[in-house]
Amino acid sequence: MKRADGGAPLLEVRNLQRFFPIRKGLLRRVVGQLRAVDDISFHINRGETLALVGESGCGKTTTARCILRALKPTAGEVLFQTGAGDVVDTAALPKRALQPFRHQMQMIFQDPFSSLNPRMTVFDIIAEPLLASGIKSRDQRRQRVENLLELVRLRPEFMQRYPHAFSGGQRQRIGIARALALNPSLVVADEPVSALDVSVQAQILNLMLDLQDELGLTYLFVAHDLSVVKHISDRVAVMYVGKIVEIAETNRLFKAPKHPYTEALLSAAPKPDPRLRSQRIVLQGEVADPAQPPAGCYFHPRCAHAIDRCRSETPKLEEIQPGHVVACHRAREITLKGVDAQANGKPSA
Amino acid sequence: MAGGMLCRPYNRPVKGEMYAMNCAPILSVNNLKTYFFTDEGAVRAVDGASFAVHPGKTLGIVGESGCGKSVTALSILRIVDDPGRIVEGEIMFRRADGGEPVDLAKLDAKGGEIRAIRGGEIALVFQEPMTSFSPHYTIGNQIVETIQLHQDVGKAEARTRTIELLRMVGIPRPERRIDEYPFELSGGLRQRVMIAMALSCNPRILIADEPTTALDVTTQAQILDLLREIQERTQMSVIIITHDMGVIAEMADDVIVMYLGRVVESGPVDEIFHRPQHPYTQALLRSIPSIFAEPRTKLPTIAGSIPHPHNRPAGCPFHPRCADFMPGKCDRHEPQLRPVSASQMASCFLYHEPAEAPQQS
Amino acid sequence: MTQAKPPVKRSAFDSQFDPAPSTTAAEERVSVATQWQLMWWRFRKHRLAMISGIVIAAFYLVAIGADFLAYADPHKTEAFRSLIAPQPIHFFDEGRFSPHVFGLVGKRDPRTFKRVYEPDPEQKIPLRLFAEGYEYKFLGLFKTNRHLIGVDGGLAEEAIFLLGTDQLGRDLWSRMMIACRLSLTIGLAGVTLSLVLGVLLGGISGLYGGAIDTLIQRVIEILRSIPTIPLWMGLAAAMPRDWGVVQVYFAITVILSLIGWTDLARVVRGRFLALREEDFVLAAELAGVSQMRIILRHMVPSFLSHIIAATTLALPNMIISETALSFLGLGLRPPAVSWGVLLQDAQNIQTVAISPWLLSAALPVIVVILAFNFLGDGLRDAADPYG
Ligand SMILES: Nc1ncnc2c1ncn2[C@@H]1O[C@H](COP(=O)(O)OP(=O)(O)OP(=O)(O)O)[C@@H](O)[C@H]1O
Ligand SMILES: Nc1ncnc2c1ncn2[C@@H]1O[C@H](COP(=O)(O)OP(=O)(O)O)[C@@H](O)[C@H]1O
Ligand code: SF4
Ligand code: SF4
Ligand SMILES: [Mg+2]
Ligand SMILES: [Mg+2]
Repeated sequence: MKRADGGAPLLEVRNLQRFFPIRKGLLRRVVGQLRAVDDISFHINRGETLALVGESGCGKTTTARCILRALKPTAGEVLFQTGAGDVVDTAALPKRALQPFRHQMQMIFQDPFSSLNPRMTVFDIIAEPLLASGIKSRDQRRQRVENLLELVRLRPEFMQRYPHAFSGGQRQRIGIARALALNPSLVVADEPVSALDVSVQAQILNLMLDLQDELGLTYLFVAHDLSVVKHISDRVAVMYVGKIVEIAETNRLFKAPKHPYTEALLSAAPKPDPRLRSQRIVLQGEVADPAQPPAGCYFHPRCAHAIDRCRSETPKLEEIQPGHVVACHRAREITLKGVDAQANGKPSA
Repeated sequence: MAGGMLCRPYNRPVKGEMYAMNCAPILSVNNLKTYFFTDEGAVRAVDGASFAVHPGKTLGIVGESGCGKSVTALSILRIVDDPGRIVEGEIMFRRADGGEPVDLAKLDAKGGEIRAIRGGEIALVFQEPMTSFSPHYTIGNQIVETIQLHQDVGKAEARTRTIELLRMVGIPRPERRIDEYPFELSGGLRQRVMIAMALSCNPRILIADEPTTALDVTTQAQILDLLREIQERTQMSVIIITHDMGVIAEMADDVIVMYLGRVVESGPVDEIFHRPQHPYTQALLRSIPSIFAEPRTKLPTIAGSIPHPHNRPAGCPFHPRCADFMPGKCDRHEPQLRPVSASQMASCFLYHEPAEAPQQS
Repeated sequence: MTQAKPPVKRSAFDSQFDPAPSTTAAEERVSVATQWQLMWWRFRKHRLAMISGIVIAAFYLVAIGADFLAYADPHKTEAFRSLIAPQPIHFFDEGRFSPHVFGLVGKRDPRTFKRVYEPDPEQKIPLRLFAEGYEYKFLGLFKTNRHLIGVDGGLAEEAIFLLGTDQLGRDLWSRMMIACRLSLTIGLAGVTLSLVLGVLLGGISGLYGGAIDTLIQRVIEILRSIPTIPLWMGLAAAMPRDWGVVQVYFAITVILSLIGWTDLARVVRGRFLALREEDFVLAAELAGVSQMRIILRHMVPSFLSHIIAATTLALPNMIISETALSFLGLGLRPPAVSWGVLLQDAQNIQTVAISPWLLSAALPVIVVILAFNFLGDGLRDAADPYG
C-alpha cells in the first residue's frame, strides 16, 4: 500500500504507563496502584491504521486518552510529529503548551449518544472546534460545516437539527465530522462502531476507509471486535491486562499469531457460519485483575503453553520477525493456529 | 403454522428416535402482536410474530435493536411493562403434566398458573445480570428463595441444591461464593449465577436474552459452551436472543430473523446462513464484518438506518432499505410469512403475490 | 482559512448516503426544537402540573393585589366585632341582581353571656365594586383607597365579614390576603438565597474537587445533622426583641436559606461530577474550547432545568417552615401578618371549637403546598427531554 513513507512515525509511544490509585476506607487512603496501562510501546506511521484490540478493561481507552492527553500519563513518552515537522513529547508538555497541537489529534467516541451535546444543534456541534480555533466569521464556519457534512455523507440541510433527530449511525457521522473539522493528522477512534447496529457498522467502517484515502488520515483504531479490526487496520496491537502482547501486520497476525492469547482471541471470536462450530479453544479462568496482576507473564494462569519460567519472569516484547513483535517466552518454539480465509472460506451469501 | 416443517435434525447429531417422538413443538407462537400504547401513539413492538420451539432444540431469534426480540420474550412470560399489551395472537405452551396446551396469551398475567410457569417451567436469563439481582442479598439467598418459591423443599436442602447448581455452572469454590453479593462478582461469574438461578427449577424452556452481549469474547465463548453443555445434559429447549449472527451460527438449530417487530425469515440455521432467502437476511449477512476478510476491504452495506418505531414504513417494513424493492407492491401491501422451501419461510413479495386489497394505512 | 471544497464522490456512495430522516412537518418541528420547547411540550401534557401552575400564578397575583382584594384594614382592632362568624354575600334581592349583605345585630347569649351576632334580613347593606376604603399604597408606588368590594358610603369593616373576624375583631379575609403576600414572598427570597449559595458552592465543589470539595461536603454534612427545631428556637431567642417586623422577616429568611442550600448544592455538585465525565465535554476539551465556555455552553444548560425543578420543590418547604415557625411563635410575630401568624391565633382549642373559621388560613397553605409539589413534579419529569 502507498502509505508508510519510511520517515519518522507520526506517533511513537515509548514505555507509556498510567496507574490509578486504589483508595480504601473512610480516609480514602491510597492502598495500591491499579496498573491500567503498564509500560507499552508502539508506533504508528503516517497514513496507516493501527488497531488496538483487547478485552474490556485491558487499558485500551486509557491508552487512547493518554495519547490525547485527556489523561496525564504516569510515565513514558508520547512523541508526536507536528504539522511543522518537529517532534514533541505531549506527555511531558504542560497542558497549556499543548494547545497548538491539540487540533492535530482528534477523537471519535464509542457512544454516539453521550458524545454529542443534546442541547446544541448539529451546526453548533461541528462548528465549535472551528470557533475555538479562531474562525470568527459565521459564513466561513457555515461553509466549512456544510463541506464536512457532505464529507461524512450527511445532508447539509439538516444542520439546524438537534442530535435527537438522528439515528446512532448518523450521530456517529456527526461525531466524525466534528473530529475532522480542524484537519487533524491523527484520529483516535475509541470503539467507533461497537455501539452501532450491525447493519450500520459497515457504513461507518467504509466511511472511515474512504476518509482515510481522501484526507490521508492516520488512525489509532481501538476495538474489541476482531472482525471489525480485520477490515480496517494495517497493523494490529493486542493488549492484555495493561500490556501489549503482540504487534503484527494484520494478515500476519490473523494467519499466524505468535502469542497464545492472540490465538485464543481469534478462536473465541464468533464466526458467522454454523459449519465452523466447535473449532474453538475456550480459555478457562478470568482476565487477571490489573490491581493484583499475577507474577511473571500475566497470562500464565490461563495459558496452555505456560512453563515454570512464565510464572516468575515477565516476558519482554521482542521482534521475532521483521515487524512482528511478541511478548512470550515461547514465541519461537510453539506453533499456534490462526484463522485463514482459504482454509475456511467466507460463507457465500 | 410455523411448526411441522422445521422438525428435522440439522447439523448437530441428535439421538434419532427421541427426536422423532418429540416432534410436536413445546411452545408455538402464532401471529403474536404486542403493542405499547404511548402518548406519541402505538408502538408496534411485536407485530405478528410466529415461530415454534421444539423439545431439546435451540431457537435463535436474531435482529437489530428495537426489532422486538426482548418484547417477544417478555410476552411469552407475560411480564410486558405498561403501557404494553398483547393485542392479538396465541402462545401455545405444552405444560409438563402433558395435558392440552395452554394459551399463555390468554392467561391472567398475575394469576397462579402463569406464575407457576414463569421461573418454574420457562426461565429467563437477562442481558445485564447486575440489574436482575438485588444488590442487598447474597446470591445464595436469591437462588434459595427462587427454589423455595417453586418447590416444596426446606432451607437446608435448597442451599445444598444451590451449591450444586453453582458448581454445575462452573463457579469455583461455590461453598464460599454462595455468600457473596452480586457486586463482588465479575460480569462472567454473574452471568453464570444468573444461569444457575434460571436452572434452579429445572425449566423446560430457557430464554436467554442477549446472554453474552455485555461480555468479552473469551467469556462469551465460556458462557455459550456452558449453555450448550447444560442443554445436552438436561435436554431442555433454549431460545437464544441476540443481535450477533456469530452467536446464532454457534448456538441455534432453528433461526428466526426479525425486523421491526416482524419475522422476516425462519428456517434451519444452515439454510439461513448458506441459502438466505429474504433480502434483509441476505444483506445483513453480506454486511457483517468477517474475520476472514482481506484487510482494508470495503463491505457491502445496507442503506439507511432502522426507522424510528413511531415511523414504521407502510407495506413491507424493510422496503426503504431493500435492494429488491418493487414499487407499487412492497410499499403498499404487507408481505406474509410463507414457505419458500421445504424447511424455510420468508415474508417477501419475491416469493408470493400480495393479497387483493391494498392495506389500509 | 477557506479551503477548496473536498471532492465528494457522492455517486459512488448513493446507496449509503443516509436517506432523509423524518420529513413530515411535525417531525421537522421536533427535530429543530430547543430544549426549552421540548420541555414545554412535555410539561403541557401534565394536566395536574399545568393546573397547579395556574393556581400558583393566581396566588402570586393575589399577593401583588392583596390590599386591593382586602376590604378592611387588616390591623384595625375593634372589641365590638370580636369573633363574628363568616357572613355570606347575597346576590339577588327579590329576583333582582343586587349584591348585598345583611346587617348584624349583636346580642348577649342569656346563658353564656357571650356576645353573639345575628344577621338581620330586614337590614340590607348594598355592596359595590371598586369602593373606597382604607388607604394603602398600590404596589408600594402610589396611594389609593380603592378596593375590589366595599359598602356604598359606609365602612366595609363594619359590614362585610366574608370569613368572619378574629378575637380582636380584625377581618379575617383581609388579613388572609395580606398574609398571602408575606408567606409567598418569604419563600421566594429564601429560595433565591439558597439557590445562589447552592449553585455557587455546589458548583465549586463539583468543578474543582479535591480539598475544597471535601471541605464543602463536610460543612453540608454538619449543617444537615443539626436538628432544625432546636436550631430555630435558639436563633429565634437570639434575635433581639426590639427588632422590627422587617428585620425579623429578613433574619428568618437568612436562617431558612442557610439550611436550605445544602440540598441544591448536592444536586449541582452531582451534575457537575457527572458532566465532567461526559464524552461531549471531553470532545470540547480536545477541540481546544476554553474552560469557561465549556461550563457555560455545555454544563450549565444541561442542569438548568433540573435546578428550576429543584427550586420549585424547595419553595413549599420554605413556606411550610415559615408557617411552622410562626405557628410555634419562633418566626414572624404580630403585627406582621402571615399564614403562620394567622394560624397562631387558632392555637387555642377552645377558641377553635367555638370559632372554627379561624382555621381558614390552613386552606391556602395546603393548596399552595400541593400545587407547588405537583408543579415541581411536572417540571422534574419535563426537565430532561432527552432522557
Ligand atoms: N478513572 C479511573 N479510575 C480508576 N480506574 C480506572 C479509571 N479509568 C480506567 N480505570 C481502570 O483501568 C483499566 C483499563 O480501563 P480502560 O477503560 O482503558 O479499559 P478498556 O480496554 O477501554 O475497556 P472497555 O472495553 O470496557 O472500555 C480498567 O481496569 C479500569 O477499571
Ligand atoms: N416500556 C416500553 N415503552 C414503550 N416502547 C417500548 C417499551 N419497551 C420496548 N419498547 C419498544 O418496543 C420495540 C422493541 O423493543 P425490544 O424488544 O426491547 O428490542 P430488542 O430487539 O433490542 O430487544 C422498540 O421499538 C422499543 O422502543
Ligand atoms: S510467556 Fe508463557 S505463559 Fe505467557 S503467553 Fe508465553 S507461554 Fe504463555
Ligand atoms: S417485500 Fe419487497 S421491499 Fe420487502 S423485502 Fe421483499 S422485495 Fe424487499
Ligand atoms: Mg473502552
Ligand atoms: Mg433487547
